[in-house]
Amino acid sequence: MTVSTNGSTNGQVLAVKDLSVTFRTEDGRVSAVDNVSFDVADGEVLAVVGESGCGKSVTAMSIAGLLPRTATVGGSVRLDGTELIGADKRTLRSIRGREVAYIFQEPTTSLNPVFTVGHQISEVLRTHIGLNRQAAEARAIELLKLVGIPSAERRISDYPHQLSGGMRQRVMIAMAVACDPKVLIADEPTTALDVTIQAGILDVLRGLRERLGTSIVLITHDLGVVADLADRVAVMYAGRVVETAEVHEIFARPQHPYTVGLLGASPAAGRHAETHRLSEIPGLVPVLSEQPDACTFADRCSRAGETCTTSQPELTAGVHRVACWHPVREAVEV
Amino acid sequence: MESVALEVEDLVMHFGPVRAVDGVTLRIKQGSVVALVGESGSGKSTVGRCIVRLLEPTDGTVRLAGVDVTHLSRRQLRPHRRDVSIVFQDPAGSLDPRFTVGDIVGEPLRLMRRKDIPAKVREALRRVGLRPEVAQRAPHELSGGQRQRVSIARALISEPRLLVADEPTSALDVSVQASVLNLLADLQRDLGFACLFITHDLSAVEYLADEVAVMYLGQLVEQGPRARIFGSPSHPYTQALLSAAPVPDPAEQRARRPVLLGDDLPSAIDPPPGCRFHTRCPVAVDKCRTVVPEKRTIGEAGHQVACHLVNDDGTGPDVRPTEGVAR
Repeated sequence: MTVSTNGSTNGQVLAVKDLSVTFRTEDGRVSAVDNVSFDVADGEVLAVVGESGCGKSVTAMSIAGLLPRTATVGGSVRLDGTELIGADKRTLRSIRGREVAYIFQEPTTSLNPVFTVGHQISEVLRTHIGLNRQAAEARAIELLKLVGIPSAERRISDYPHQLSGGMRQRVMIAMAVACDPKVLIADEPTTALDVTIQAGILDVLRGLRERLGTSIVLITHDLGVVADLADRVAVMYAGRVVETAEVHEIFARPQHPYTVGLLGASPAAGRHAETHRLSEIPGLVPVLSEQPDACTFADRCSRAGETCTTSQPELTAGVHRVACWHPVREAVEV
Repeated sequence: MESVALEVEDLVMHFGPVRAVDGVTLRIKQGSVVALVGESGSGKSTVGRCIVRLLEPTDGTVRLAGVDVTHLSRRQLRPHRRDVSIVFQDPAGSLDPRFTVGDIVGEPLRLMRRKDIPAKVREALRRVGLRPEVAQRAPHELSGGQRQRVSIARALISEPRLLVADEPTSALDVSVQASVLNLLADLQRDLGFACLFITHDLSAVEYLADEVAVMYLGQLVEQGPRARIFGSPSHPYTQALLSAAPVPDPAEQRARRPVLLGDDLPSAIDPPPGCRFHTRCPVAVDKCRTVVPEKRTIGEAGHQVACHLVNDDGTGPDVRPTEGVAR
């Protein structure tokens, strides 16, 4: 039994420990995820944030074995005590879609264009729970209502192309929660959508957590979305978790220089270029063939010292955890 | 009289039955940044493409520094090309992979048969924060942020009066976005060009723009000074749009209540009669469904709104729910 960060000793749904992922490529091995550990409690929304290439999506995909064969995965992912890394196909099949469900950025490519949305939702219910055709259809209508689709009885016979982007994403969410999964993994669920539609989708996700108690792993680069929905935040950089804390805490008192930079990089309300300057993070995210025994952010960091290039910082213990030799402890203006 | 970089009057652009732009009037003073905001499908990029004459408008006029360029032929346009440049969202797709960075940045000057091009290219690269050696590289050797800097260097090398920036930061990561926004702010201040900043990123708008124009389904619904639009927006759509954009501050964000408009943006083939926003507007009345609202100046100068329900002094309905208890 693991001890969760919120102090309770149970109610832990997902426990990721020392997860590492490398890919074989034409240019040799590339390390995408290195020793990532985090827990998700029952009904908790954990946001995994970071920029392109930080490993957040690879982390999400490795949870239910969605990575391609070129990937080598090490470490442990436990869902309610069941180990998923190295699990056989039958175990994974019974877990995917049922215990762990995914929604992706682009609903258009995730839906089958030649079947009605009702058919596609019913299929999930018939395959996983063994409902008959009538029961599945009735449940599909309920699910469409749950995700806020008006006149669900009529919409169920629509094909994906007849729906707007926002409606399609709602259908994807309905399919994902059809079997009442313990964990919903939402990988950039609103990135392809306009803000007025995004607001509706965030509302649906919030509702799921409140009404069904679904735990959500929210993968995003959008700090506004994090501020809206997350309970806890894990910041990833170059394949590692560099900081994790409760959401209000991390926005108010970021400790890792990368987190500080990320928060200062997005324009805040009421700030104009005449009087404010956005913080820039010089340099580029490294592409790593192997993870060095050093801080991977060191060469972009203004606080870096000698230790940073010779020894890898571990995440500190506690509720607000940071992997940095020179964390920011003074108050910062972001 | 102050000099005007761009005047767009009753601009119409139809693609067959699709009424992408349907009567847009907009002017940009020399040295001023106007943000054109709206959702996908609002027609904002089409306005930009008409202004740089990548498209020939169906109707209306586009005047660059006083010259009507609306229907000029390619040959007639040539002397005016240097007055306006465009930067696109995707720098990978807008830089020719077969050319070096130096060729790409210098091309506008070559077409104008200028001299001393290599020196001017070096200067243009320096201005956008790139080392001179980058001129020898191919676009694919650069990062996304560096490529966008190359696009900006190329756009500004002819010293245009107007820069149309169409979602210049949308394809970039947050930290890279910051450096490109800082760069645009610096260049605009130092070189004094006018800028039409087309974007859906409202936080970038507040950072960069002097004025804001809000577009909905091919038409402008509200425009005015930045502080006015962000501080007290009058049009229900502007209010909804601003309330929907989440702010990166958990305490503030959780106290807000977005206006949920429902998902269906009406079709630009058959836009709703009357006010085009009435199908999603929480406060629409009968008149909104039949009578097209005229754009009129309200309250302070330069603040224009097209809504029946807004009074002449700028007061009117507020569709935003009052801020409730923190979630």
